Amino acid sequence: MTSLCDLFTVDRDPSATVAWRFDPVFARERAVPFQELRDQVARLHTRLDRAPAGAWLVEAADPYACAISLLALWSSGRAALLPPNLQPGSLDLLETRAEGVLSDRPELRGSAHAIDPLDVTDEPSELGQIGRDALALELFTSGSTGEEKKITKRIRHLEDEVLRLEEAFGRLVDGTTLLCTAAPHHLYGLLFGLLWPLAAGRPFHARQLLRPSELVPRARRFGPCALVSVPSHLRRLAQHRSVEDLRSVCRAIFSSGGPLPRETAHGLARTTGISPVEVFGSTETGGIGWRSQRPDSQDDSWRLLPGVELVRSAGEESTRVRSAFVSVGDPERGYPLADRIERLADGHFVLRGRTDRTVKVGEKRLDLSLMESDLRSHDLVADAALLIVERAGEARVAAALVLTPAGERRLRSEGRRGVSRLLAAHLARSWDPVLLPRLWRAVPALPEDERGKLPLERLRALFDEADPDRTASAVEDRPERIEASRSDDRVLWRCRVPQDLSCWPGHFPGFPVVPGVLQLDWVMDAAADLLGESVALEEISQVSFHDVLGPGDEFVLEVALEAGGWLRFRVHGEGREHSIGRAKLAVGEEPRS
Amino acid sequence: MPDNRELETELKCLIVEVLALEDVRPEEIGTDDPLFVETLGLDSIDALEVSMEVEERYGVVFHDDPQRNESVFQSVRTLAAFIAENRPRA
Repeated sequence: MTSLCDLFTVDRDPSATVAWRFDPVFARERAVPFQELRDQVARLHTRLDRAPAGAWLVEAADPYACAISLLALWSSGRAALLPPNLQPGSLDLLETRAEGVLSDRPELRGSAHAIDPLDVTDEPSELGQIGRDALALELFTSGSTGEEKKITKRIRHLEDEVLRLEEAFGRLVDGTTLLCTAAPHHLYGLLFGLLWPLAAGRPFHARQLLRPSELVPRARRFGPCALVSVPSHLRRLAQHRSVEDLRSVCRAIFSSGGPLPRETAHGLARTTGISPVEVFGSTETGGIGWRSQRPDSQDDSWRLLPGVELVRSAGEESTRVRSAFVSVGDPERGYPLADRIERLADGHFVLRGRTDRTVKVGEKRLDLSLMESDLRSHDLVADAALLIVERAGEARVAAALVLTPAGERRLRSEGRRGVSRLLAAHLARSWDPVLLPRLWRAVPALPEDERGKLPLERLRALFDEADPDRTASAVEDRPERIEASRSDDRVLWRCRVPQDLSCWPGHFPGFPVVPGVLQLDWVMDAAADLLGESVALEEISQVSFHDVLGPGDEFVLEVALEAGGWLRFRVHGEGREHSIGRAKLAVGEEPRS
Repeated sequence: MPDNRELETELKCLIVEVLALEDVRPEEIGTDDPLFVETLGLDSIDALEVSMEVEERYGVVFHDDPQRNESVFQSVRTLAAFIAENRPRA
């Protein structure tokens, strides 16, 4: 085990493999010997010496390019700024705060302030020791709105944590190649996936291996291996038919970024023989504790990582964490956690939720109250409540909204999707895409209990019910036809909205309105009547919804054929326009023109 | 230009179904809409979910080269073209 500071000053076998890199020319991985890595770091070091000092943005998606960038920045006395995600928006913003950019993005090639870390031909510098107290990283926690919270790390914070990881888990991963699905620009992926193997002299696979179809064959090719992953990736891996192939080649599985579902942990233990090691920590504190949820035990408690202490003074609500890797606040006093921590007699601890409304979505941190105020700042929103619901097996943000009069007008004219797209675009300016709400409900008022608090259960019920816009397609939700007339290319129905539609309990409570999608279904019924065969909607265009259509309303539905499989429709009543637009049909099983 | 319209329609349904998208009907997804920016607003978790489902359903395996995969996932059209070219023949 080498300390990070001494990486280039201790004797090391120059031919030892440090990484496996994908080579596009041969379309497979190639072993990178230590001397090649060292040479690339030394050349980039020279190049950086001619460039401004200070913090440089490292936005390489390739973990190997990321490693070269960091080591060259550190050895030349510079710090790395790591983006919360690789979205163009966040990168553009951070680029303005950095002295320069190290990037393997092809579109930045040739830019004055950007260097491709793997494409430097300068003479190599002599590499010395890396300063233990030098500034190493500036990280941004995803989530907090507008100005994101910056967290800095010195070399010693990383160096000490890597040493402690080896102390705690070195035995588990001895002799393995490291495969990683976690992003290298997040602290966990960086420490576990790059810095630890580099310091310990274990090769790492220089690719984020997200899909089981790319991960499992490589585990077999490079095994024995250890896997560094996150809950959302492991959940999918555990369900994949190839997961059993990891048995006997995979020696350890690490997970961090949020709690690993018990059934995922147990499933992996059954199929691979490995109980994943979950690591609990944060960007501010580094690692705090770890656990393994074993199928033969109900124990879900955590134990502390070596060198970490939890303290709580009498009368204090929050538990503070003290370790050599906490890089925020007073190191003597320790960093106060927003997690409710219960200490057990054996020194282990149990997590009992949070003292704030912070949640994890896709391993990203989100303070629900901050996003709620961001929503309330929008003209269309009078009030907003957010919660986490499960959709397609994934924890996602759901939004219940009370709209302003302007918001209600927009809902009527453009439907729920029109409103939600606008609000999502508003949020996307300051929040990671994974955190954006995926379910939206407009309600006349937010539910309240007798103490004026938001009852989570009633809020959740808004999303548990079958979605009103989906049940809108129910066959029985049809208008009462009063009269119909038809010519060759035109049909006209005079109808009445029934008093009772299955979508009304949710659309909207106490304010029944025929949803736009249901009106489109009725248009399709009329089109089928006109053409004498079943039709499906292929595309809609220039559709707008105006006056609302409620129970008992009489209306006229007109559909007229146009050229090229298009039709024009209009739903109107006495002095009222409900909806109007054009639709393209996919007719029967015929090939479409 | 190969005709992948049937496959494209299937993919639009697959996207709406596996991601449980609300307020999006398959036919509203434009064949050339960029999948992972504004229009549909899919994110990295969605990308993983869709790519795994596509591998499972069509028996294709994506490229080893991340940059080539990015161009495969640009739109429903590019994804359908990739599947049509790489799916095992029955």
